[in-house]
Amino acid sequence: MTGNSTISLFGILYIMELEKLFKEYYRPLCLYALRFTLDADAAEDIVQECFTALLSHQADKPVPYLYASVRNRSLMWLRSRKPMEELPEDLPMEDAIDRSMEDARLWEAVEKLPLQRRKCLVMSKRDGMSYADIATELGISQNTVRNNISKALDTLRHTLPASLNFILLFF
Amino acid sequence: MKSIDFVLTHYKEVVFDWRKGYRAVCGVKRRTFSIMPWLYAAAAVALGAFLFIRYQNHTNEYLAYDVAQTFTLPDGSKAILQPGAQITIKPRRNPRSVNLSGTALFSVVQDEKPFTVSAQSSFVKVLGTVFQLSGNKLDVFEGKVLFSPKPTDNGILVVAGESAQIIDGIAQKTEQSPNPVAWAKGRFSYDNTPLESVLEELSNYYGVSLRCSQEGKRLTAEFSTESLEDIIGLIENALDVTITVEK
Repeated sequence: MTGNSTISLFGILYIMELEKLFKEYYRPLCLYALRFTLDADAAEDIVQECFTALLSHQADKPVPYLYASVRNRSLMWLRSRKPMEELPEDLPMEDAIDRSMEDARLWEAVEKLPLQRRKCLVMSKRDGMSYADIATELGISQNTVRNNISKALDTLRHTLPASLNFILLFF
Repeated sequence: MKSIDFVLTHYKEVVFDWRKGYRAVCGVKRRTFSIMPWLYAAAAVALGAFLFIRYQNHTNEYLAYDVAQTFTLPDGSKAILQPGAQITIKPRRNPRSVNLSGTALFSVVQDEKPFTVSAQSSFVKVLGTVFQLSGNKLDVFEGKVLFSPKPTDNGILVVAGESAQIIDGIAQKTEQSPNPVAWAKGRFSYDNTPLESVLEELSNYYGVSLRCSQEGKRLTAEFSTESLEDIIGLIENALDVTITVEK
């Protein structure tokens, strides 16, 4: 990555590779960081810092490098915020990658929900609002709120792999 | 914590978009990235130019192997090629611009655009005529022809019945031989022609040297071009002369 307007074939391949890396791992990495920070903005900042570091390091295996550096930076961020607190649960790298992929798929599924279903779901699960409050806020009936939420949850369950789906049916 | 609960607890609109992240990280170097479409455009233009030039350079070749052959050229003009002669034309560039090696007789159809023939050392430009060009020699039978040496542009106008030749890089008029296109017609015909002229023409045609002891004889006759021996025999009988042949 030189700033020149002439660009080698290697440079082009590198740029395509880089774009692919962003496409495939940016969101999973954000969710991996989110598992530590529990703060979406902080998580995104950390991931961007790690990608910037990758550009100047030219790591041979960018994916493990990214996950490792996101973990390190997230832990640093945590210590700077709450020095006394215990560190959160730490999975082996492969499991952590798998889980971050699954989180990313779900995040995308939520994003793609129809607007009102998403609003109902998020108000209920994230903001802890009652069905009655949501109904008043959105100007719809409580029944509609209940319907929206159950349909939205259905959709999310279907985005998970079959084995997980099966387990969810029982719990 | 289960993924669904985790994601729903922390869900936030408009975050974690990889395009936004990509811009934030690589945005400064945006110029580098926007080169990709330029590369594609440049490649497309190069390919287009290549195909266009190939299309324009499409060449028609006309070749006479062992007998004289008549060809109709793309513009409708006719060319008779002596054995071994070759014509090339790029019809998509200019159908009335001909490259010639060897000897050919042209009958050019009338057109506003000039018909040009480029040979080894000469160049002719015509509108609508019948003429023969051979390396540096020109014979005109109909109309008129602008005849120039190559590469200069100092041409002379040669009209029907005249001949010209490039000598020392200058176009000069010469006397037309009695049968300049005998190779195309397959006949020599003479009408009260001095015997010296007849023998000179036959010498040039067959690549030999013919001599006759007697002077002042004239010949009126027609021969086929097939056999020099037969022609010599016929002349000797008709005029009662002796002709010697030197190869």
